[in-house]
Amino acid sequence: MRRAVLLPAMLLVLVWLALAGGRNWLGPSALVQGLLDRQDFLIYGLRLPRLMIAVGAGMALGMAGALMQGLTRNPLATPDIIGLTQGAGLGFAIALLLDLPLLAGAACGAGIAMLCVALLAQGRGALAFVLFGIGIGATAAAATTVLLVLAPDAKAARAMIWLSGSLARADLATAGWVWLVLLAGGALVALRAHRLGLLWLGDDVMASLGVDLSRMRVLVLGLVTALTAASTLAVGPIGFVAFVAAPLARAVTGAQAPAIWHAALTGACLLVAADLVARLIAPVAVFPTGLVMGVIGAPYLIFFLWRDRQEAR
Amino acid sequence: MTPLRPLYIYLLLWSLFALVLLCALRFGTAQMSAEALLHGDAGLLSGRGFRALCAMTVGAALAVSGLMLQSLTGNPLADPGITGINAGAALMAVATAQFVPSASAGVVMVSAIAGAGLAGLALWLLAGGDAGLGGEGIALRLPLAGLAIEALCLSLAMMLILTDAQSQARYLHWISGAIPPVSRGEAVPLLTICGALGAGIFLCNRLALLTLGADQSHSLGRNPRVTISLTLALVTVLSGASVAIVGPIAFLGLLVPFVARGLAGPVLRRAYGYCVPLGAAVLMASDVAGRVIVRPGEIDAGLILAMFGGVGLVAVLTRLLPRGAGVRT
Repeated sequence: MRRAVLLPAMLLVLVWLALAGGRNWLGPSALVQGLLDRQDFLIYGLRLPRLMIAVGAGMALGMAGALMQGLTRNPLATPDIIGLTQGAGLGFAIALLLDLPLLAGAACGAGIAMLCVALLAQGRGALAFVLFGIGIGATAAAATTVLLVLAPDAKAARAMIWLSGSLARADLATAGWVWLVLLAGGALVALRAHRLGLLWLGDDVMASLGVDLSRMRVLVLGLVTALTAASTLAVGPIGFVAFVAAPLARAVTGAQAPAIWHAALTGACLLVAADLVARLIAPVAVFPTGLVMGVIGAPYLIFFLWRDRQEAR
Repeated sequence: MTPLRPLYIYLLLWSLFALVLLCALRFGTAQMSAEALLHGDAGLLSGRGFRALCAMTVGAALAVSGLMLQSLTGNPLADPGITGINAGAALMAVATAQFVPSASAGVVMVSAIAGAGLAGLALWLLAGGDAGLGGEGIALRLPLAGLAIEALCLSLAMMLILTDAQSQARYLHWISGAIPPVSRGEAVPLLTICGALGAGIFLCNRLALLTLGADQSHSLGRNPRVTISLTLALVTVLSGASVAIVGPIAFLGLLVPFVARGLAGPVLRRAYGYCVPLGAAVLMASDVAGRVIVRPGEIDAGLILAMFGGVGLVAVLTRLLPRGAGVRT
């Protein structure tokens, strides 16, 4: 039971730090004063929107990662590794250039990337999903950058910062979108919690328990697409949050596999922490949070492969 | 269809190379007629010439580096970009330039080569198998390990670049694979690459022998370990020196050898010969495309390559992983 409160407590501490920390550190009394004063620009204009986006996007990514890992029963198949995040980024860039709704663009991009990977990898074995995903992701990422170079200056400047995974341009409207999708997704997960828990037991068990497999898959894939799109809209194509969140959550709390809520909280913790580090490294310049996440996440992938190899021997 | 005679393929590839070279000299950010270019200011032409020289050398180097790595590991996905070797070189080059501002181009290149070697070592520990024994399945862990190394090294390199205004000016385009428009001490790496490319030809037969099996190679008087070390040294030198010039470029070392091996069949030396003009032409062509598409802006050649390279990776994978077959991890 003590472990159950660990993640929320950690998130609270990080939220405190994120509000207090930065170029000007606020003491406890100054922070409370700032929170009470609705006119405080530092809190309400800068740090709170950034925090809201970090928490929302982190939770969405953690949830999406846990769901995807469950559906494929492959710890590598998370939205950031199989190219969904990059696909959402490409959709975002196209929508930005054509003045279409950004969230819809990101969702279409993620959905199309998902469809491509699924169609290509069908019947080619478990790892094919990941490998095709890497290819699709690389293509989408490069195409996004090229598109943004083509864009008019005002748009490009905004998008370039976004592209490297930065929270520097956080505003409350975007945060609202992220939280809307997150709450809808969370409600759906809560409603279907029992059935989603069965995902980890395998297709055979699910079929024998009378679960409609194809409907289940469509539900989960749809959820993952929407959550990925919303988080990409807010923070750009940030890698590794979705990949690391679920395994880390299980390692910390000792929860059983469908630890969707644990993964969501861990994702939020990770992103808030990474953003705090990014702000502390370069208080003046715009420093992308995505880079910090890369430095945290890539060693985990290395560790994962190394352990996998030790086990194979 | 009867296979084309090698002579015709050589002619075809070198004429492709010549065509692309002419385009590289003719087309650029400034729109000028060919006549004005020839009779006018020589600066423009020599500037484009320098760029084309860099692009062709690095293109050939990366293609050959990929070919040797693929032959050694027996893995058609092994490419200095995907495996993170280029990213390791980039990290070391940026770190050296930042922490030792007085470092000359040669020193930066040597540290890039060291970085390539370190990344290669990490890759070997994570995903390596028996060298030269291509029959033993395809190690699909390789691209994953490469992804991890690449993400780590490029994130760190970007961090270094972004925290320092001076290196932002110098390296922000370089990291996404831009051909240098003006010379900044590229002569040392260029010469190194040319030397290594020449030396590599003599390695082909040794390596081809090794791919038959370590025992075969040993019984014919060629120590397999020496062959492996020599090949790895060649790959690291080529990749490191390339990165020192144009930054970490991905996918070129995957696609060009794929085509070259398809044309050459089993003869490694012939594939080597095809890789040189083809790799040079491909990188020059992407540089030209990057200059022409968004006049007066520019898209870095590495980005153009990555866009097509991802599609190429998917194409290679569809060949590699037959449907319905169980795939070993």
